[in-house]
Amino acid sequence: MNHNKIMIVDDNEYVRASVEIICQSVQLDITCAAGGEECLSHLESGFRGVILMDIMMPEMDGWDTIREIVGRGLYDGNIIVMLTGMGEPDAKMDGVQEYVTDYMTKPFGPDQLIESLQYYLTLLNVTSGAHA
Amino acid sequence: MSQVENRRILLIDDTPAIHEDFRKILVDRSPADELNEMEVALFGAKPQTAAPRFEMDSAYQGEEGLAKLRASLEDDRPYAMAFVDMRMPPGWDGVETIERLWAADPRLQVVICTAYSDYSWEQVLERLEVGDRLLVLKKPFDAVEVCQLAKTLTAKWQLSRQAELKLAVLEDAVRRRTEQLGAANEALQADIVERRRAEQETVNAYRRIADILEFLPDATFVVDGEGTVIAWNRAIEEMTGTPKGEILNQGNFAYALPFYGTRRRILIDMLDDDQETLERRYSGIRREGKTLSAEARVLMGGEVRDIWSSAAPLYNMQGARVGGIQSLRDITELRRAEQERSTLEAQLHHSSMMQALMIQLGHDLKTPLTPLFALLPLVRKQLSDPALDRMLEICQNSVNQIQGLSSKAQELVRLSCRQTALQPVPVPLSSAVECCINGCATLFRQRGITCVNAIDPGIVVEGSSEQLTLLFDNLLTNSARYAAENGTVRIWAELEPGAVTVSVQDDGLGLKPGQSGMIFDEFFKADAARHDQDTQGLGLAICKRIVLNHKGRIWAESAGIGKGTTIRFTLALAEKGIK
Repeated sequence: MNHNKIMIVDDNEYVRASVEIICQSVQLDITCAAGGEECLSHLESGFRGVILMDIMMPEMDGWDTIREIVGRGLYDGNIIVMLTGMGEPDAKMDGVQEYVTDYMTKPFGPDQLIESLQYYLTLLNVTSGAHA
Repeated sequence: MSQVENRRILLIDDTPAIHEDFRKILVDRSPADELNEMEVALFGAKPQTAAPRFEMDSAYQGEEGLAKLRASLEDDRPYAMAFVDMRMPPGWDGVETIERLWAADPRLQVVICTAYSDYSWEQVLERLEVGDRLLVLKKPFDAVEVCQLAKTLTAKWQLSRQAELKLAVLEDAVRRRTEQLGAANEALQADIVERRRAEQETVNAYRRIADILEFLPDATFVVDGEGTVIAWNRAIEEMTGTPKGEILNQGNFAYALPFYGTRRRILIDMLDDDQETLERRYSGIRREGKTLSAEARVLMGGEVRDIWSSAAPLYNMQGARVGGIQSLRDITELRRAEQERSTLEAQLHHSSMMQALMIQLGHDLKTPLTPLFALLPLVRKQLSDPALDRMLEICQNSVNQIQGLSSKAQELVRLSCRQTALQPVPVPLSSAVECCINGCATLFRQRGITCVNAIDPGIVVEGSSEQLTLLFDNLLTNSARYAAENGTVRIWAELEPGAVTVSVQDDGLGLKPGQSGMIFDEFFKADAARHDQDTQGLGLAICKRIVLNHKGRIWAESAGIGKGTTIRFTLALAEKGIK
């Protein structure tokens, strides 16, 4: 089975909406999460796909969320792409970097986003196909 | 002095009859004596002075007499006197015998007995050292004369002996007294020496204390109980410019003059003041035990100086107050340095706050930019009205500018971070440049520009790969913008000892004279670039920061407007700089 699912995890409503609009314009299945907890509950409910994860979020940031995903055994079957400003060093990434497939720099245009998502989906289907 | 009573008599005569006569006269008891004793027994009357009885030894020759004398001396029973016959054949005559007797016992009293003169008296005197020890008895003897002689001379012997003993006692007393005096004198001498030593010690101790005060590094002065200056050390001479001679022995607050130009109470005069009075005079004054310390700003030698000072009372051994001591320290420089440091700290704090703010701002801008970036192109795709499209295009370009500005500003701040210590690694120069040329390929192609990388592929520099990439990105982007249409951008490197000078040259706009120094300033835009919406005026500032981070120099050369620009900078060669 092919996964076409995308999840955007960002505390900013407009960023979530923008990603949602762009994905819907090319019929990509998009789920929105306003924070780490929401992301985790989607995963608990069976979401598998490409997760676009903002780093700086209140309460539970991107790194904490990844730690929790891995800790709860929810990582397999997903690809995580971090949304970041550019190049800020972060001590909190230590130990969870290996679960991050790529970084995407904010801001991004619609074409760039669609192109990247399609690439990650391909990647995800190849790896899960290989696992399967 | 009964122990010195001596009635022993030695008779030396060759005629035995003479011995008999003498014995009758001197030893045997007379009838008169017996009568006397009976009288005492019957009537209890005071006895008449009886003729004293003597103990007499006989010798018949001079040699025998001498032997008896010696024996008597050995037994410690010396003779008081001797009767010596003048002629005693066959042995020594009287004079010789007397000579020898006296040689053995000089105290012996002697009576020389003679019937006629073998020697004249003068001759006898000539032969003997007579003194008062010799009497002459002419034969035939009178019994009374003999008895009197015996009595007188034994008494004389006793007197002499007593006198001798007395003298010995006196001498002994004198000797002992002398000894005592000597000992006392010695003790006195020792005492004097000790006192002198102690005095010297005191003088030395005083001297030492005076020296210590004199050479104390802190400016210090001492006053006595009347407030008269009794010490003014070198450091305070130096601090105030007032020599000892002008101030020692001066009273009436003279010590305030060098500091305040007027006679007034200063710290040393306030030792007994209550805290409230003290606070009025010196704010922040402190009292620790009996010591006061405070700071004051004074005008000294026409200069405002900050002086820290402490004062304490002085007491003598009995605990009585005898004056006071005050030390002063010029802390003007210290205060100035503290002032400067706190200013710098404030600046540093401000600058790191600004830095944090810039980073946060740059980061936070990304979030609202994201929907604009993401959605504007989608909106434009759905429009067919050219006027609306033009409006959206303007919006989109503005968004691009904001994005460019925030990215570059954030980059510049990050590169200027003190915490970002450069960890240099060897970087192959030519391939780093090649990589960046590829990154800018689209830009070059759009304007038909040829880019020539003429760097020797063997050159390896020391630096941060990431920062050097950013450096060339910025330089090449600039060149791509400002090179002539269909022009050429050339990059080459010249080796120097330990370093390399890199040049990036375009053949485009060029610079006005005087601009070459300014183009590295933040937000500077040359006239031609002023209306270029795609630039932020931060590119060369970033380049300068990167070169400075690498401890190099960067500068621009241009022959003038329209004659192209060359940006040149130096980098350190890696240890094995050339492969």
